[in-house]
Amino acid sequence: MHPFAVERPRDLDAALALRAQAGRNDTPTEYIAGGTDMVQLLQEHVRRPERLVSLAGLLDNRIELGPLGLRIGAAATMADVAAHPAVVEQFPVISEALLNSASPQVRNQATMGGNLLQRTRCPYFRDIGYSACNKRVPGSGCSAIGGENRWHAVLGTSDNCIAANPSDLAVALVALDAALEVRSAGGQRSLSLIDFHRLPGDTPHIETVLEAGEVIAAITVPANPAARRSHYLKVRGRASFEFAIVSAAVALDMEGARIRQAYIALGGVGTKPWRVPKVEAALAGASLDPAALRQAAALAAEGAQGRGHNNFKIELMQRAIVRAVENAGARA
Amino acid sequence: MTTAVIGQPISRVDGRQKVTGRATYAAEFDVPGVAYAAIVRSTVANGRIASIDSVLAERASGVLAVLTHRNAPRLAYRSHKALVDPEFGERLHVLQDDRVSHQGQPIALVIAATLEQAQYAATLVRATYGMEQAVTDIARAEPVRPGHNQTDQGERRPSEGRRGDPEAALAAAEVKVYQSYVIPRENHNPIEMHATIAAWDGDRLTLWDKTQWVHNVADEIAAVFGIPPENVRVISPFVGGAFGSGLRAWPHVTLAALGARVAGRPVKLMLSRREMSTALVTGPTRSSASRSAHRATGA
Repeated sequence: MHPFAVERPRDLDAALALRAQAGRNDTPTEYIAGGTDMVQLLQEHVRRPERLVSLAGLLDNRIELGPLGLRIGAAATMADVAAHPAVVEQFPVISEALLNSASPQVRNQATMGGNLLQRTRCPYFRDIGYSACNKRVPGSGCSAIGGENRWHAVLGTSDNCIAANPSDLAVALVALDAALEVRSAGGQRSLSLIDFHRLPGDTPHIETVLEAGEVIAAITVPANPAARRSHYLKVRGRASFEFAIVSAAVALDMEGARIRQAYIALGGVGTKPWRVPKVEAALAGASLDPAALRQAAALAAEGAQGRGHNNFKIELMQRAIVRAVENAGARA
Repeated sequence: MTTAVIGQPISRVDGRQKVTGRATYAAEFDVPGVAYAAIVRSTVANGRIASIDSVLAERASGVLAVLTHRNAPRLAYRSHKALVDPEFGERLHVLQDDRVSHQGQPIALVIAATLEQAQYAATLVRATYGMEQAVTDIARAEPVRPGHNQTDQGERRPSEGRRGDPEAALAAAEVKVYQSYVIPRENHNPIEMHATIAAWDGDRLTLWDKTQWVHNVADEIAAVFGIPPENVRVISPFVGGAFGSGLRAWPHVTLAALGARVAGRPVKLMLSRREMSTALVTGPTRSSASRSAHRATGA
């Protein structure tokens, strides 16, 4: 590891002030919360901060359900949120996405805020033995395009980066129109999660719209009758401790046997958590008839671009949508 | 059929020591005065090292030496070909020139007082390359015909044999089946990763090495350093799995010995799990084709 100092500020304001002095991404000063992703990146020399500002004990970790919806403090662990009765009962897609993530040990340690900021699993990003990675070293090229890219994105890619966003949680939250409360030394702002992650474009090293020194303080999920009838389907190479090849988060507002409104997001296929509004529109008023579902799901492939090894994802994600909608629809 | 041996449960001789943690593996020997080495590896697959800057690494705390092709001692690299070595080609002459032949090839060695200091300093070495097109697809590789059947242990078994008249049989066949098969590259990743501790005493060398063939390691390192094989003692009481990857003496064994010679003290070199994918070349991609002749009945 690159030698670094750990700061343990007394309160959040002190932490925000420390971090505010630094720049945007991969700068000499970074936050660390649960550390499950950060420590891996430190060990692999991918990130080289000179100073880590610990957020341990400084952020809200409460999980609260009110008339407006769910509010989750950024420091809540993945395990606590996954097991919370209100989440299990009223937002099953969130609980399922979390329980299908990582391992029990990681879920006990990792925070909700950190989950949304975890870096891609692109093996070229995580191995400094490859010189070309625009996300790690801007302008150095992309080893995945033309390389081993079975795990990579087919939606939202650019000629500079095709790395997939690895978070399961973010997919579920994006489907439910979640928002973030963000704090900085300058104050507080709210932003919608769908706008939080950026497309790679020419700047794949800048992954979110967080400004220097900002920290995620809480996640809010608006009350939604569809959330009760929701489901997270994860397709992966092995049944445990593995990232999604393809995943689908679905919530359904049903009127009898018909879908009034569907909320659908995809994981494993996008450079960011990927909402599919055209599929949702095609499903409005539809029944759970397999042919209708299949036809609607095909709209997810619009603009999808395979790079060789990952071509299969374009078909697989459509099937995942169909299966996930069927599963959610079968829920009472 | 029952026999006294086949089918009978037999305890492994070293089983109890291994499962109770009393087996000592190569990296675990406690050699007084040991320093630690970390390898800097090429980030490109083919080309030449255009520049290599080790100044920052040399200045880093605890660093005893940084070796590159520019300052590493020239080694004898006498011919040595064991039965397990490929028929074609020559082994890597590590840190002897600017040529890069594969991604992950060692291009520098950092020796430091602690493992952490060596690993950190290794990340400070900066190299640039004159890149050349790499062949990464077996279908586009230039075929070579094996011809060097002589090894230091005697003649290899002939790679071609012939019986009957296959061409005539194929010409007369009612059904012909032509098939081709590709087996992708395999990396051997046993639980114990490769590691070597090297200690010189004059021109005598002791190696604590993960190996399945101590004499091959002694012969290879003696050939590399131009010393008699009897000057090299190799200690390897336990192997934590190898799948055959411990039969050859890989370049990191040479690097450990080289590091120890330059540093003037014993040096321990352990491969990381990530390095296990590039430091050894164990099961290369294989491609084969078959033709068979049959009767219409399938026989």
